[in-house]
Amino acid sequence: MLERIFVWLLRLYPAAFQQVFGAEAARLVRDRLRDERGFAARLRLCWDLLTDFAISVPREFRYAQPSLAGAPTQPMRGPVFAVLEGKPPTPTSLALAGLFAIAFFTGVGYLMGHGGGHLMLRSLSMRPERQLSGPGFAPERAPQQPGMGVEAANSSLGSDRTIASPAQQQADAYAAGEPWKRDAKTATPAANGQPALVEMDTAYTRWVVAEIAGNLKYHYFDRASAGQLAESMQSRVTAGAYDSVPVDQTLAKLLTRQLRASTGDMHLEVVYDAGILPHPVAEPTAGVPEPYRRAMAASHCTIEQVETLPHNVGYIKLNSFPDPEVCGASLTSAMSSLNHSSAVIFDLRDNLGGFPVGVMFVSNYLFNRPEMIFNPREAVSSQSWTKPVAGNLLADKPVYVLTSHKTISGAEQFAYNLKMLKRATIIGETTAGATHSAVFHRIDDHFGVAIPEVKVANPYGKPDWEGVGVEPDIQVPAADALTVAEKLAAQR
Amino acid sequence: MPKRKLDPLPSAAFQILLSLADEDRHGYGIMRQVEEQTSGRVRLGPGTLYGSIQSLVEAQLIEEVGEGVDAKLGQERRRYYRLTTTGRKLARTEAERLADMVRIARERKILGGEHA
Repeated sequence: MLERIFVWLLRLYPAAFQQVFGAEAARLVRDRLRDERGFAARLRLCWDLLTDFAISVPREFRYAQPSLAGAPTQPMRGPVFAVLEGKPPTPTSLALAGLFAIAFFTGVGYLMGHGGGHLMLRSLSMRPERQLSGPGFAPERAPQQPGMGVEAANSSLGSDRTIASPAQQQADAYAAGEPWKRDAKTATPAANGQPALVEMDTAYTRWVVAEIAGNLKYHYFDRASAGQLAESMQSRVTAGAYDSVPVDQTLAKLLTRQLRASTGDMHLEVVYDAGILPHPVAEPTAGVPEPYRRAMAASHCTIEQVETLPHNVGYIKLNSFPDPEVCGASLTSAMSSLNHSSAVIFDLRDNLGGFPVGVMFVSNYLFNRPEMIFNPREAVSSQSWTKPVAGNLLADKPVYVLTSHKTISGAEQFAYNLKMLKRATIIGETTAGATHSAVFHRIDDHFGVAIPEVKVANPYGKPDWEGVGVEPDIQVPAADALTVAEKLAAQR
Repeated sequence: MPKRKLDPLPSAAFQILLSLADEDRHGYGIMRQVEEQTSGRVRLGPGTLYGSIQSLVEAQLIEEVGEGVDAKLGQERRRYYRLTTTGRKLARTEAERLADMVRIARERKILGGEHA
């Protein structure tokens, strides 16, 4: 019995060892069993053999592997392996190994696709690709030139704040003559295809909403309602009201709707970007950045066209309201060339905003008395009134402003004021509806919230164009606006 | 293949070299001789014994001399091993090293003896 057990145990040794010494080792066991009789001797023998097995089996496996050079080298069909075994792998082994590999990788793939949110695999596979080349991130773009809204930011903000919303920064980039689409979200197709780039879990949602509430509480100009707003948001979060909302545009839009509904303030907006929201841009310390100057020089200060149409109607197509410090001469020369027109058409259908001082600069030509130009980002000051331009003959001429749904920001400020002052006839489409008067607070790479920090009284006693746009006096498709304006001007 | 280590010489391997000093032996013979020369302290199991034999053969410290029958143990044919010249030299060197250690131990009064 003992002999059979120990001889069987010899099979635990590596094949090569068994091959050379198996018979000898079995014989040794038998010899000892034969010679060592009696209970004590047998006990000692068993102890000897078991300890020997325990020590020498692992050692033999460590040392007794045949060398790779010993692998068979005879030609065989199929792949050739350097093997540790003494014979080549059989076709069955190869087939099994192939099946196992396929099963394993399929399993890994399945886990990556379907694992729970807590699985490491999933978080690796869902990590968003950084969209650094999307709109607003192109390295060659002009640096953020403080446009509309910066003055407001200057007046009350610390240096760690973002001074303009992403859309505003884009608008500025447009002013620099760069042909990006307005909407960062639609202009990033890769991001569009993946609606949920961020980890979608409740904790993240709750954190985002809590951060937004916190920012509101400390930055919204109306402290009393900000406190209530933050509290009600917090209680909704605690109640899990947002837990099932997809953490993307859907959440941003829902929050925006709720904020606007409870405050009636259209300037409040929660922003989501599937790409990466830009970081706050440091304000230029002094003067105008060189790239902006270059861009303006290259685009003739975004003055696309200046001409006199039939019936002595002046026409100027202005694609931004540039900084007069850079473009004052160009603007002056354009306006002067229209000085003897009997009417002026301002084509703002492709105007994407710019500098409030630029808006003021152009407005100066349209009034022969100081008139207040409302800027929702800035408290009224001595700079808010127009200054008549010497020698200007346009102050009492009819003015037509052409708009499209793309007309935004500073261009809307121009159209809105002229409309409210009944100084111009607005023709075309309702404008985009962005004042960019709020200060943008970045929550993380994907979420941010625009919060108005200063209350600016609206002299017209009506809401500004935030969220609703400037409605034209004559609503026609943007493409037909010029024809309509020309007809009207000719009739007068 | 990873080389079995014989430097330093393991105790079992040294005992096997010593057991073959006077005559050629088969595996069981070596085991018995080792048991005898160590007064029963060392009883080599099959794994240790043949593992060591393999190393010593590879290092050419012992060699197989062929198979023979040990009449005392029956009619089975057994492999006999012999100490090579190199093996003998190594065993002597090892013995001298150990003797040196013993001398030092005596000088340091760790071990008793004629000089103590």
